Amino acid sequence: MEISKRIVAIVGPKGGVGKTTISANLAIALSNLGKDVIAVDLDLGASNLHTIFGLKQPKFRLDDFILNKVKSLSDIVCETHLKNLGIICGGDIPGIANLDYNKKLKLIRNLSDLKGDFILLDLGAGASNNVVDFLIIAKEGLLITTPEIPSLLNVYSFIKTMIFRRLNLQFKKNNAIIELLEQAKDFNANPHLKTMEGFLTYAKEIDVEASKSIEKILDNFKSIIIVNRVKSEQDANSGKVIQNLMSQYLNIKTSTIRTIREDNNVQIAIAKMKPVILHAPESLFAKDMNIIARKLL
Amino acid sequence: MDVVIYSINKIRGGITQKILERSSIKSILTSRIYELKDAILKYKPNLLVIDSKDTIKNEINLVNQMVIEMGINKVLWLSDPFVPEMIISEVKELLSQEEPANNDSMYENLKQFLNL
Repeated sequence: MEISKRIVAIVGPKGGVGKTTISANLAIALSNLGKDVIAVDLDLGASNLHTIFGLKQPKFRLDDFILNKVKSLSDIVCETHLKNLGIICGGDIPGIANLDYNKKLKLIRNLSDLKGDFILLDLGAGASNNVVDFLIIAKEGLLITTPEIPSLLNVYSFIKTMIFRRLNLQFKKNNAIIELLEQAKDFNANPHLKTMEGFLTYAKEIDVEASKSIEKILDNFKSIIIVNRVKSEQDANSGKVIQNLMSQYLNIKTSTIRTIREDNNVQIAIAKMKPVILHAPESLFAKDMNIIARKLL
Repeated sequence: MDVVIYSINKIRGGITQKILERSSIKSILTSRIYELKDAILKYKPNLLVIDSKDTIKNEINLVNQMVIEMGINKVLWLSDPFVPEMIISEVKELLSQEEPANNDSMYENLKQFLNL
């Protein structure tokens, strides 16, 4: 399922954490750095990326692709008035949030065919298979959270769900590993499988090659934890809490942390249906987004 | 001092201060950035009330930066419509909120919620 090195999924398991605002502004920041960018609204059934760009009646939407009105995803890339930046607007046909397997597979294949330096996927909230699978195909995940416990909790749970899904897909023909994964879901009954370290120990006893493969999957998962709406140093440090949990319990040691400071300009720009970076280029939010974009290169 | 108010519009600032006073909430009114900074340092308020009406973008950015650098957790931004009943209700709600947990307790809380 790994299909491209340039696909970045933007994930915010808890709704309302600023995921779409970050997706739109990050796309602009990257295009300002000379990169060809396509931002894809994959918040299926609750799309609104186009509103940030003020596109009231997009010429094409994801619906056109789902309903087979166009051949490929590249046919529905809408131009923006920004150089190097295209956008695929989301769809809202009934049932799109529960995309069937074949349509999802077709969508995934087409995502890999999009031309650009960066394909940014603005994913929906929650941890349904549709959302998780789009993160799995991406090279890198930007995990958006606010500094509060409910949001941090959802990020951890999402990553854990994603790892289980990834391993279930990878080892679907390896009954012993699948059985171990099932046991690990209930770690009250199986406390030895509470951490990924424990899981790997037992996996090694069953199948050495499989355990090495699992380690590689965990090593290869690159994530950036983005703490949004930071108001204090303590808020900024909340990213470390989730980073520590991911390292200690899930063996994911490749995550880095970035922060975006609370900024009243965000609400003002949203009300005007303009990206913050364009509306207030000197704002704290814009500065932080530009830093994140540069670090992504 | 519970609240520091920043408003370059002295009428709106004065009304805000008056309605807080009626609810026995002590506040100080500032209308210049340096006054705001001094008041934060001196009174260490629980809440900042910032009136963004007539405030230019650069000033908003400066205030934003100050809030971050000085570690202010509770900020209420005012704009239009200016409804005194709403302001007092939001101020009371913000003042009643507990301070966020520190990182150690956050880590422990998360572990408990996640059953780890």
